[in-house]
Amino acid sequence: MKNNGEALETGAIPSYPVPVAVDEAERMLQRQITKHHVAIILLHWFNAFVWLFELGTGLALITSKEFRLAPEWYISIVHGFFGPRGNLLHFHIALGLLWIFVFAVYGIFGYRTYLTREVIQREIALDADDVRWLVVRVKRILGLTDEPLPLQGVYNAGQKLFAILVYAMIPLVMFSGLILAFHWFGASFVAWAIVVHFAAVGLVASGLMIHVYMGAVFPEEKYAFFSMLTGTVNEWFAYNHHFKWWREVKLEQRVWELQHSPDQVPAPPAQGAPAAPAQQKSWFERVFRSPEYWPPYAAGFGLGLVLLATFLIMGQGLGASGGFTRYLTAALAWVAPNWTASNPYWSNYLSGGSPLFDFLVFELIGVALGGFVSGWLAHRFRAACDKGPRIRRSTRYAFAFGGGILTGLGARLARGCTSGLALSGGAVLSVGAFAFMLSVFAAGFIGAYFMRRYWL
Amino acid sequence: MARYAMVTDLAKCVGCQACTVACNTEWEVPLGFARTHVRQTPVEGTFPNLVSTFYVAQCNHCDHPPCVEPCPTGATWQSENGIVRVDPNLCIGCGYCVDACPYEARYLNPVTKKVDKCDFCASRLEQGRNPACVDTCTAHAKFFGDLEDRSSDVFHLVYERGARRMETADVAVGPNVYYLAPPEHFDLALASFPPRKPRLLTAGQAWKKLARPLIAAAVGATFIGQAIAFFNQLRKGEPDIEE
Amino acid sequence: MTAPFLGSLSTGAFVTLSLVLGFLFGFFLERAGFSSALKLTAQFYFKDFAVLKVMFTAIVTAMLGLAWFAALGWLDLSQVYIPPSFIWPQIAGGLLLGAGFIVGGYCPGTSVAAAAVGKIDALFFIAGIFAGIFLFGAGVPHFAAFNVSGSLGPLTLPMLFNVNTGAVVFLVVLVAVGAFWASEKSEGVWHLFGRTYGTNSQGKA
Repeated sequence: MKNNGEALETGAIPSYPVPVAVDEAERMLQRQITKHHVAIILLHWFNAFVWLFELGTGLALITSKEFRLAPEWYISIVHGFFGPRGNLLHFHIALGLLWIFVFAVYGIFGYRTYLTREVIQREIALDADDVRWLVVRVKRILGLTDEPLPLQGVYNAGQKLFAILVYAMIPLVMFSGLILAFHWFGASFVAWAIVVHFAAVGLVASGLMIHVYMGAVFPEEKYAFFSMLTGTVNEWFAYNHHFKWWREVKLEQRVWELQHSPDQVPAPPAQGAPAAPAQQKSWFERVFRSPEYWPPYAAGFGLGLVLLATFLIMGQGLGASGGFTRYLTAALAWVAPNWTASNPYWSNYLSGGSPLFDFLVFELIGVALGGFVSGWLAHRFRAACDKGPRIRRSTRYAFAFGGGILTGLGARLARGCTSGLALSGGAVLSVGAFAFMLSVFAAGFIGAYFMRRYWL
Repeated sequence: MARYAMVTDLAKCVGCQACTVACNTEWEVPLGFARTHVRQTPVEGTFPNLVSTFYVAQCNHCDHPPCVEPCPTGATWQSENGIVRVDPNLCIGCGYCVDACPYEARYLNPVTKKVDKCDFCASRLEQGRNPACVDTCTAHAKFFGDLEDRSSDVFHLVYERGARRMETADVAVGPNVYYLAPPEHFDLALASFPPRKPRLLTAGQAWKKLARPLIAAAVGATFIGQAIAFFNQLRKGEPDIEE
Repeated sequence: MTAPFLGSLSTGAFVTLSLVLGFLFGFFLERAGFSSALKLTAQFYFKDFAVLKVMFTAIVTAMLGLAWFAALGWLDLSQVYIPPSFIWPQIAGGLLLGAGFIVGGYCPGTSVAAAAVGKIDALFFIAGIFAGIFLFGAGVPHFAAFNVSGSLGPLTLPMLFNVNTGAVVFLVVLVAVGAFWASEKSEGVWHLFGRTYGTNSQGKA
C-alpha cells in the first residue's frame, strides 16, 4: 500500500488504496459486500460436486495401461465400490448428462446476463495490471519477492486465467462426452472424442488443483472461499485484494444513496380503518363457494383418490386425449366411412363396436359437468379469455389453436396426454409415463422462455 | 482352469457357410457383418496341380491378445479360461481394438454401437453346450474343447494329429484356433490371409504419446508448485489480518 | 369393461360410473385451478408450482393406494391396465405436448374443464386438439416406423431396474416430497435470474 501520509476516512472513496486505521479496518471487516448471486453459488457447488465425482469415476474408467493416469490400486477400489463394471460407466454418463442439463438451463436463463461484453471484459479479459499481477503473484508464492500486487477487479488475474481455461474446455468436455456416450458421428469421432475428453479434463483438473488449493488452504483467500457460501465478502478483503472492484461498489452505493436521499422518503402509512369483523360462514360456503382455489395438495389428494377409484372400478386410469380421438373417429366414420375404415389408425377404434362406447367418452362429458359445477359454485363461471397482458385476444386464440394442434399430435404420438399417460401411467409406474412426464416438463420450461412476452 | 481351443479341419470344410448362418442367428449379427465366416483362397498352381482351400475366420482368443491393452475402458478382457471377451456395458465403440486385431475378427455393430466378436459362445458353454458353429457344421469339420483335458478332441487333434496355429514370424500372438490341413493347403491359407501387425489408431497414438504425457506433466508441475507454496506458507505462518 | 374390484358391470352402471368418475375428475381439476391457463403456465415461470404439486400428490396417492390394495390382496394388479411403453415416440410426444402446453396454455383434460367454466381460448385449444389428432391419424402411415419404435411393452420402473415394487414406490414418494420441498422453495425465483453482485447489502437495507 502506498503511504502518502494519508489515511482512509469513513465514507471516503480514494482512487488508489491508502492506509487504513485499525478502528476503520475493524468496521470494514464488519461491513459485507454482495459478490455472488445465490444462483451462482448453487451452480458453483453443484459443479464442484459433479467434478469431484466425474473426476473420481473417470480416472477409474480408463483402465488401459497405455492411457491411464490413475494407479491400479485406485482403479480396483473404485471398481470394487461400484460393483458390476458397467455401473461405473453408467454413473459417469448419467451424472455428466445431469451436469449438461443444469448448465443448459442456466445458459438459457442466464446468457443475456452473464455473456454480455461488459461482464466478459471485467470478469474474464486480462488487462495490463492483470498480466503484471500474474508475474508478481507467482514470485510471491515461490517466496522470491515481497513486491505488492497490482490492483485487481472483482476477479484477480489468476481467477480470470482459470475462467478462460474453463470456458474454453467445458464445451469440449461436454461435446466429446456426448459423442462418447451416444456414439455420435460414428467410431472415428468416438476414437478422437475420448482423447479430447481426456486432454480437456486433464487441463481443467490441473487448474482445478490451484483453484482448490487457493480456496481451501491459502490463508489470503479465506474470505473468497466463504463468499462462495454466503455470497458476500467483507469490505476489508475487497479493499485489499480487489481494490478496483471495491471502488466501483462504493461509487454505485454512493449513487444509490443520493437517489434515495431523505427528501424522497415515502409518507408513513395512513391509519387504516379497523378491519370489519369476519362474517361467520358455513363450512360449505367456505370450502365450495369461496373463489379461492383449493390448496394444491388437497386438490391433488382428491384427484389421486378419484384416480385410484377409477383403477379399482374400471381397471384403467383417467384420460382425455383418448376420448377426443374416439369422438373424432365417430365423426369421421359418419362423414367418410370408407376412408376412415381403411385408415390404419382410425380403424383401431372401429373394430370393437361403436367408437363411442368407451369409458373415456363418457368420462369427458363428466369432466365438463364437474368443471362447470365446481366453477359455478366458486363464482368462476363467466365467458373469459386467459391471456398475458401484452397480447390481443385474437393472438391468444390463434396460439391456443396452434398449441392445441401440437398437443393433439403429441398426445397421440405418446399414446396419452397429461391425464392418460403421465398421471395414470405414473401411478402404475410405467417407464414410458415417466419419460413422457420429463419431456413435457422439459419442453414446457424451455418453451416458457421463448413464450415469456406472451404470458408475462 | 480350462484352456479352450477350437480346431477346424480345412480338409473337411465344404464352405457351406452353415457356421456363419448359425452364428449370425445365435448372436443377432446385423446384415453385412459376421463373427465368423468362411473365405476361399485363390486357386494356385498350374493345371492339373491346382490348390485351393477354405479358411474359417473368427476370433482366435490369442494367448497374448493384442486387442486387450488398447481398449481404454477395459471392456475387452481375457477370462481365465483364455476366452477374450467384450463387456458391452463398458464398450464405448471407439474401435481401438478393431484396428489392433491381427485377424480382423472384430467389427463395430452398427445397431448396438458396440464392438462385437466371437466369444466361443460363452453363454452356451456355461450351459454345457458347444459353440453354435461347432454344433451346426455340416461336414463335422469343427471341434471345440479344453486343451488341458487329455481326453478331448482338440487335445488329440493338436498334440497328436498336428493341427497348427495361423501365425507368422512377424505376428505370433498365440492364436487358439488351430487348423488341420495338408501342408500345401495350410500354407496357401496362411499366405492368402496372413495376420497383420497390430495397429494403434492415430487417435490412440496422439493420446498415448502426446495427451497423456502432457497432462501428467501439467498435473505434476501444478502439484510441485503447490507443494512449494505450501511449505512457504508453513514457514511464514498466517499473516495478521490487522496490518 | 374389466372391473378388477367390482366384477363386470352392466351397461347402465358402466355409463353412470364413467360419468361420475369423470365428474369428480373435472371437479378436482377445476378446484385445483387448472381451468385457468394463467395458473397452469405459471408453473413454467416459477411463479406457482400447483401443476407439479397436484400431479405428484395425485400420482403418489393413487400409487400408494394401488400398492396397498395389491399388498392386502384386494386387487389383482395384473388386471390393471399398464400403458405400453414406446420410449421414442413417447419422448417426442412429451416434447410436442409440452410445447403445445406452453403455447396453448392447456393440456387436453384441463381444456375441457376450462371450457366448462366459460374460457373461450379453451374452445380454440380443443378445436386445435381435434385438428392435431386428425393430422396424426391421417399422417400415421408416413411415420409408422417411428410410431412403434422403442417398444418396451407394459414395462414398469420396478421391472426396468429389477427391484422390488415397494422400493420404487418409496423412491417415488421421496422424489415427490423432494419436488414439493424444492417447489415451495423456488416459487417466485424467476426474478432472481439476474446479475446482482456489486450491490451493497447495506445499501439496500
